[in-house]
Amino acid sequence: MSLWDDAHYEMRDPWQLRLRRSFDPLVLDDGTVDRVLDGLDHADVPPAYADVARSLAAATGPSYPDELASETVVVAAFAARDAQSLELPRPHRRLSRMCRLSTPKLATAAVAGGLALSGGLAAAATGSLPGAAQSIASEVLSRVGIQVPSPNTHSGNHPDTRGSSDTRGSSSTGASNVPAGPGPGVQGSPISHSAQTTPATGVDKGATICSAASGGQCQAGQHEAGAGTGAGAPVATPNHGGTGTANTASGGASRPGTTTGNAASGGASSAGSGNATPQGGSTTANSASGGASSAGSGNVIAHPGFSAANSASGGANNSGPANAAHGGH
Amino acid sequence: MLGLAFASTLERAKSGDEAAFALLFRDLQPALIRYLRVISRTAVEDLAAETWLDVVKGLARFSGDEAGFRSWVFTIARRRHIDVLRSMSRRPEEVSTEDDAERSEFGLQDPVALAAEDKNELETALRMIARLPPAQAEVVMLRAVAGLSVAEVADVVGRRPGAVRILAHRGLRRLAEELAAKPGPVEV
Repeated sequence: MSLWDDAHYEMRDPWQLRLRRSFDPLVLDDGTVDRVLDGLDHADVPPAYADVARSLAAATGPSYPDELASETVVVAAFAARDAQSLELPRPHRRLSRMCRLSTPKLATAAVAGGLALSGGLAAAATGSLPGAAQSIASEVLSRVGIQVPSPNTHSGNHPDTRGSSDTRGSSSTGASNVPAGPGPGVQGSPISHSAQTTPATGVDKGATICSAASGGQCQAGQHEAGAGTGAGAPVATPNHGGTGTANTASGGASRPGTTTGNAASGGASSAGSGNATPQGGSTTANSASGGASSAGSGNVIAHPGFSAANSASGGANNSGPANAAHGGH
Repeated sequence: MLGLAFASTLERAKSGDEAAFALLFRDLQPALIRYLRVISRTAVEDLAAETWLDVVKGLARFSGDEAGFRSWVFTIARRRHIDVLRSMSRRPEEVSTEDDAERSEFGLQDPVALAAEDKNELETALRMIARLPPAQAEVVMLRAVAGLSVAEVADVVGRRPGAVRILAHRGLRRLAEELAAKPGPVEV
């Protein structure tokens, strides 16, 4: 019988245990072993194990300051690690492995990339973005070490607050970008309906809608010769971001009274141009389409919840030539 | 042990609460240090720090109760200790000679160094446990000081529960014999 078997046997057989204990006071059964190890008081254990219980109690006693000396370092390591893991949705595992970037880095890179592609980075650097967009750009770019001005000192009349397109698209946006025109929020549905039902096509359709939207101030369709593109000709410059909105207008999905309508009532093309001018590519889009607003460059960086996006997308939506251009595609 | 407060403390720590993480640290660190002092010969503080760094890295992915958390932390500590032993085995000039083969295998602390430390009850107790055969000493520390169950200790040390029970039994018996023979501080 091996030592292992012997020990196992003496713990499992009560009769053997009693017999052995009569000769050997150190014999223990399973239950007593567990109780001693679980902290049974020395007064309650077999006498031969009283010192063992005292020693184990001392080994499990209260902590000493030197044992906790590394707390500061460990907690600092925890804090440093935690600062790099914001509570953001995790990217796809494969993407994460490929990029070897953390979620916040990816999010920051995406926003910075969007700004760069749209020319918005330069605009942000000069503080010429609308207030809300400038605020976001400043906040995000600061995480990657790029300092840009805060919104309130350079945003002028641009909106400084963030909001949804449904609730903020009517007032400040139209007022800041559109010099004249019917009151906001009252012509969205008629204009959208007109865009869907008018028999005109191409530049004529754009001019019709633009004129209706701007109360006759729109001159869309009068510069097609200078722009070098004929009526209904495809516009070479892509309409970044504004395409969806423009399609909404021309495709019949426009929602009455929303950003589309508000911006339409606010003066259409000029509003879009005002927003688009600082952005790369928008001037080309305007001239090619007869002064209309593909103007969507602001949309590239603008979040759907920002007022800045409202004005930009509104300008794109109402521009008659833009509609005509898209109709020609 | 944190008991009922453990679940909420863990969740707060996983969400980045430094105070909650400090609570977890203070609750486990003494037992961790004492366990490492018994099974490791050197660099106890470094081993503990490396263990906690691994805990920091893996905390977000951890899920389980307090016993599972303690098992996880001590498993990490044991692996760090084994890593140190392996690295030392690749650098034999740093390994001092040791008469006791088992003690050398597990890297138990030198009794001479221990005798020079404070002679309070804790030190005496750890010294006596460290004199046990390494496998017995480790099981006794994990069961009594770390507060793990037989099954959890079996998972940590990679043995069957029956073997853990036997080691614990023999460890206690030998400890009783040692204490009866040498009730005072270890004389070297």
